[in-house]
Amino acid sequence: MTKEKEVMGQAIKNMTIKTGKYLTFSLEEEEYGIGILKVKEIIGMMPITSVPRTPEFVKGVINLRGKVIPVMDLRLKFSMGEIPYTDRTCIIVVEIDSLDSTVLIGIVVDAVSEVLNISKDEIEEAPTFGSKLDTDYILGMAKMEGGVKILLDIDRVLSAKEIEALDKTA
Amino acid sequence: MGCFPVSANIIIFEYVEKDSMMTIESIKKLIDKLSCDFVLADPEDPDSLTGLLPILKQIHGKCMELSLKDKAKTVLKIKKMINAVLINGSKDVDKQMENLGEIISELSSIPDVLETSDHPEPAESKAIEREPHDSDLSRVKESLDELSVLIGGFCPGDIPDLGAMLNCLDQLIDVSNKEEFSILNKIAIACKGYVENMTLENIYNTKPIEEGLLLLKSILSYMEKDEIFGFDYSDVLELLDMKIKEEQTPKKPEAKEEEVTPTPPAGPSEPKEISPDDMEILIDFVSEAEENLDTIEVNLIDLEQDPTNNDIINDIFRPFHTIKGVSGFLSLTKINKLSHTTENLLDAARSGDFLINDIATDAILESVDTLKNLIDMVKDGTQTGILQPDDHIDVEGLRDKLQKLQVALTKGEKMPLGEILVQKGDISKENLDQALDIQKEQPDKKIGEILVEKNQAAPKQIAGALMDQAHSKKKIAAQVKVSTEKLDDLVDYAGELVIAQSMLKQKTVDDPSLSQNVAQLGQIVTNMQNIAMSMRMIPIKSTFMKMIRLVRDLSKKSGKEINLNMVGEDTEIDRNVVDALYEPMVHMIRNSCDHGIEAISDRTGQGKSSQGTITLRAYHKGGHIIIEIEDDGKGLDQMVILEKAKNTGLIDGTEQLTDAQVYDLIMQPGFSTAKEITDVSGRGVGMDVVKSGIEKFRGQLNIESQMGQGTKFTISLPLTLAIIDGMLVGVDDERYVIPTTAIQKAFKPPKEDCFTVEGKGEMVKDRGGLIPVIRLNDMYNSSSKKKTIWDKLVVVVESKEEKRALLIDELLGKDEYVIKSLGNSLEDIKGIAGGAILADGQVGLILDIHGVFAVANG
Repeated sequence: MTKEKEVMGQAIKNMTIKTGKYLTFSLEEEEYGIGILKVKEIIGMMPITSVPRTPEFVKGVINLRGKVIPVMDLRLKFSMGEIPYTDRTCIIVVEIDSLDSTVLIGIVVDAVSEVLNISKDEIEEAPTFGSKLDTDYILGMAKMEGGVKILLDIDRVLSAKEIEALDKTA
Repeated sequence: MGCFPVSANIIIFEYVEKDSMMTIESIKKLIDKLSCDFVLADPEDPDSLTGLLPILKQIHGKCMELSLKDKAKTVLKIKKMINAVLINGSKDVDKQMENLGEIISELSSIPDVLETSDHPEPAESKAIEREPHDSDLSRVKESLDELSVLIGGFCPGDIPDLGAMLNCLDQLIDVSNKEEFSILNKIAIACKGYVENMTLENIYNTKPIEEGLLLLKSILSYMEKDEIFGFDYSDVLELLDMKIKEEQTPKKPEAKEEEVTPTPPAGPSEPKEISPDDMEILIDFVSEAEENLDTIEVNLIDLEQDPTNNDIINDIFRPFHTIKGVSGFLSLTKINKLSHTTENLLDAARSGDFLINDIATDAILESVDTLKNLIDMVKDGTQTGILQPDDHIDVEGLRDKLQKLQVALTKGEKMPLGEILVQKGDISKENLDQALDIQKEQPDKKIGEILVEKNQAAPKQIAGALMDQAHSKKKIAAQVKVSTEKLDDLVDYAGELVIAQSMLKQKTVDDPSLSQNVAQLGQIVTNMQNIAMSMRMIPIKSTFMKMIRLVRDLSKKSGKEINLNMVGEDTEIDRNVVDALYEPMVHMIRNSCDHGIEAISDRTGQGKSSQGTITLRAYHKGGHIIIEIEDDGKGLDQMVILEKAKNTGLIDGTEQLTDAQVYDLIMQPGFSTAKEITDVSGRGVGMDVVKSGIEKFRGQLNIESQMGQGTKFTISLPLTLAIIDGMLVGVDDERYVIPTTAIQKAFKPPKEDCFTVEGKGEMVKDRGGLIPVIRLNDMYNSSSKKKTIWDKLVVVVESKEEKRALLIDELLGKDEYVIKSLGNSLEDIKGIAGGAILADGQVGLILDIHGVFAVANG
């Protein structure tokens, strides 16, 4: 059963890996990319209201033109050390497919780099670090001239379920 | 196609009467003209080709007159080919034109044939080769398509068009002249009969034939899916037949459809999966039907007051008709059948066969309820994707009832209203006033009845007045449906505009002229925000209307006479609050009817009018909507309440309680568990539930009562759930909004009033009581700075009879805040009710006091 699931998951992933435009951004020393269609907008750093009793990577909420949306720090999510925000720090507002609707979530990244056209041939499957490590949230690795970029499946990175689950343990 | 330019020859040939020789002549001429025009026609020029169509149509009509079906078919074929050329444009035009030319020359032979044999063999029509089922279907479809185009473009008096229609129908009849098409055939024949009538008697009403066409199409779609068409189509047949039979026989309402209705497949049906195509239609159908049924209820109540008003009957009739039509398409057999039967009943009432009386109203309401159940099933189906069988809901019994009722009513009081309306004379103002006076004395009498009885009225005038009335009602009802999402967006943006404007304002202090402009902008923005907010409001009328129904049912059941008055039903209220109101109101009205209002004998014994009155009142007061439910029943008995409260241990009997406190007792949980008290005191059934239900929406419930005089419940709810009245407080760097309703007081405690109680934590003394302190910053670990209580402020808040003192740094002001969700992922955080956009554009968190207590308690 679990194997079937795995196969299915892989198949779906293969389908989602597509030639297309990716927005790349930097975190620590690495470059990451997310599908451009997922990105709603990029905004500069703005005051974030912290929300109590939430996991650490949930920075809080911001007012996006009258809508209150949650903001996550991707550094904290990926267990990297927190650094003070600079004027290069950005919030990328992404659209996440939730159970019944799409929700907007802001993610804090060190800096936004560029929009790249990446073809399918340039994308390699995510490496498996043994079965214990969950690399589900990685769509694949893009081998580019500038180095390897990690393409994220942002839906999986920020799945609402996971946040909920974390909320309960917190 | 549609209406073609009527060329001169049409007029000529209208005078050519049924003389077949003349007809043949005219066909000859027409065919000559056709050939000429065709030769001249240029395939590149669509106009020259369209010019051929009217001629073809005429030939077609003439052929029909002579019953030359095969020739007519050839004509049709040409027509189709020309159409194909017109539509496809340049593709293979030359070849098509060549073909056309051949067929047209073939057509020229018609007159010769005609001259030799004037009598076409009837066998000819039956000599259609038995083609495979599928091709038959496609032919049927073709004919239907053509027919619908013809009907769509039909102009009154356009005889050739009618001829074409007849031809189409003939084709249909030919094709469907087989076992498996028997229904189709029957309807097609009926349609043909109607169209013939149209030709002969100059009837221009195409409605029946449109209905017929719709029916034919739906049957076809069933056949394509290889399903059995199990619906009732007799009304369409009746409609088509009507014009013919009208003169010979009076309309028989009991002409029922049973004999033609195929019996539905026996045995329980399987759950059916909904195809994605149907899904959307089903969802639409459900929401529309629900809305329709609600309007039916309201209109029925209106109709009771004024049973002669045809407009209201029409308003009730229409939704049933719509539901019937759509459900037929969607294979929802039961809904279709039931709505159809109900529609029949209403139709008879509409045509003046009888008046809708109480029994009929009850039956229709029952039908509405059953339909609601059925539609709920469909709704569930749309959510799960699988349509569950609705076998457990029986509609046949109800249908039988409705049908019998219709027959009984028609026989019983056959009072053709239309006739009365025409025969009556004029009415003077005095007469009307008199009638009104009579109505005051006998409030259950309808004004129409009185006027009719007294022979004083010009019902026409009344009808006119009623119509005006209905029109003025309609004006209010004319509304646009907008998705709530868009409205919310509008509210969001309006709020943002206010913030942006206030930021701008701060920067323009130095420039007087600019700041004047900004002030003006501010005014506009504020207005806009108000309007945006008000768009979420709906009148409370719909909720009140449901209560009418409830009171009606309850008074019937209990045998009491209860009258429901409504005041201020146009008061507007947030749509979400309406939902919050419904349950408590039902509960309280049920209480009033069951226990508040006495039985008739008791009332007359006390010198009260035999009719009990419940008054519903709605009005705005200070940002709240107030709903009053007042009855003139026996009121609450304080002694009994106190006694009961003592027995259940709610009070120890020594307290001095105010009236309000006594009445509050009945809303205590645990008070109403025992049944007997409700019979004695008349109140208390689940009042605690009502109270908590209202409090959940930040509302309040008050009771006033006078022994023997009645009881008044007052519900006070915030106008909107989207806005909260809150106090902004600062705690370290964070700002929180505390709902004003929860706040009791704020003060700076002196040092001597602060204690630390062993095992219970910190407390402050207030008016002799000790209140536990909650340190918000501790709880929400925003900082670990430990400050002494007496250096800071405490806000005493209350939730569910519990008090706590929240330790804060400063009070930042009181304002109204729009509550915003923090998004799916952060929705359920304990102690946080949501976010609010503060004046500087940042987000502040709104505290949920009850949640905060829960967190503090661990």
